[in-house]
Amino acid sequence: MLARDFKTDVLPMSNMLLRYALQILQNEEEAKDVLQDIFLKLWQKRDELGKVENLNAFTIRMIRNRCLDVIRARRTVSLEVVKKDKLPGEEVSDTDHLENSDSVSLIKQIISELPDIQRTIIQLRDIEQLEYEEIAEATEMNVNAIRVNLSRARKKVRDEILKIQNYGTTENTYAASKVL
Amino acid sequence: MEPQKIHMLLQKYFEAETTLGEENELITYFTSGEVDENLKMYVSMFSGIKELSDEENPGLGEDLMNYILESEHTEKLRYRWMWQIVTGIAASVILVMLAVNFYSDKNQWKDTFTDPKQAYAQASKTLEFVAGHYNKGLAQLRPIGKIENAINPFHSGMNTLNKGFDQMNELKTLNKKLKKE
Repeated sequence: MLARDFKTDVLPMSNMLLRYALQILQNEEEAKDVLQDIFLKLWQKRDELGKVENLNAFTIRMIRNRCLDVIRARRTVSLEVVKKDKLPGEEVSDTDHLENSDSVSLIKQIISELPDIQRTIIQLRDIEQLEYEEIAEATEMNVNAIRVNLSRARKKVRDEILKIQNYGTTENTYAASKVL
Repeated sequence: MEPQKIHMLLQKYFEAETTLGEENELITYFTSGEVDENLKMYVSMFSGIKELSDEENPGLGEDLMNYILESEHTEKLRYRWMWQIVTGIAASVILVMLAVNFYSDKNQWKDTFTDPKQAYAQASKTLEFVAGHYNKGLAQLRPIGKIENAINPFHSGMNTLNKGFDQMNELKTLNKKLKKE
């Protein structure tokens, strides 16, 4: 791959990969460090990138593995612990939930509280808009398992939003249950 | 879009059966500002997802490219520095070897004769000169032979004395035997 192709094909993925790294690490500085490491590696191996079938899935997997290394280096056993390990300013109480009207922060908050697999899948599908096959390649899961986890994640997000935004009136609960 | 169709898409969406195109249709509908009253509860969800997808870090690509080029430059400098050290050492070794070689060349035996006969005659003369001195040295060592001759009678006297001692020992043993008897 030429330097020009790297700039047009690989660099534009940076925002998606940063969002993904942030979702795993919950720390912007670490996420940016991971991104720099991975992009440097990609640049150094750019001659071999032409052979990669799905660059999206390939880079996502690289980011995921590197993030897991960072988490291991923090001596944290599971992602669940990392998820709870937020900066002081990020602590959100139940009252904050109710006061939080910004839909982005709300969704971010709800997604960050999902189990690791669901969080990864909803991120890759709904936010990064990847095909199921790409997600399967990146996460090394099968498409059926991905669909099951995605369905659960979406329903959880919906239920949390309804609860938090006080949509949980009898009428709206009924309407939501009708959709199900 | 008809609320009925949105309902159907939502149903598929929550079962993870929608295509990316259908999901985008939902996002477009819920962020259009013309949402059916009964579906307004989903506006936050889809608008939040849309905003998250659009969230970008301006200049990120450029920053990454700068980082890559900077790292590459640093790496090159490091390699250049290492290369300079290695080549410097190699050059020094070569210079030392050349100097040693040059010096030894300077002190090498030089041919002094072009005619082998003349060289043979000169070598014979030199060897004769050395041999003469050697013989003279040996001649000076001749008195040592006289000392040796002078010691010989002493050696024979010592032998006779030793024989006498042996005979005395024999007499002693005979005496012991006789006493026992």
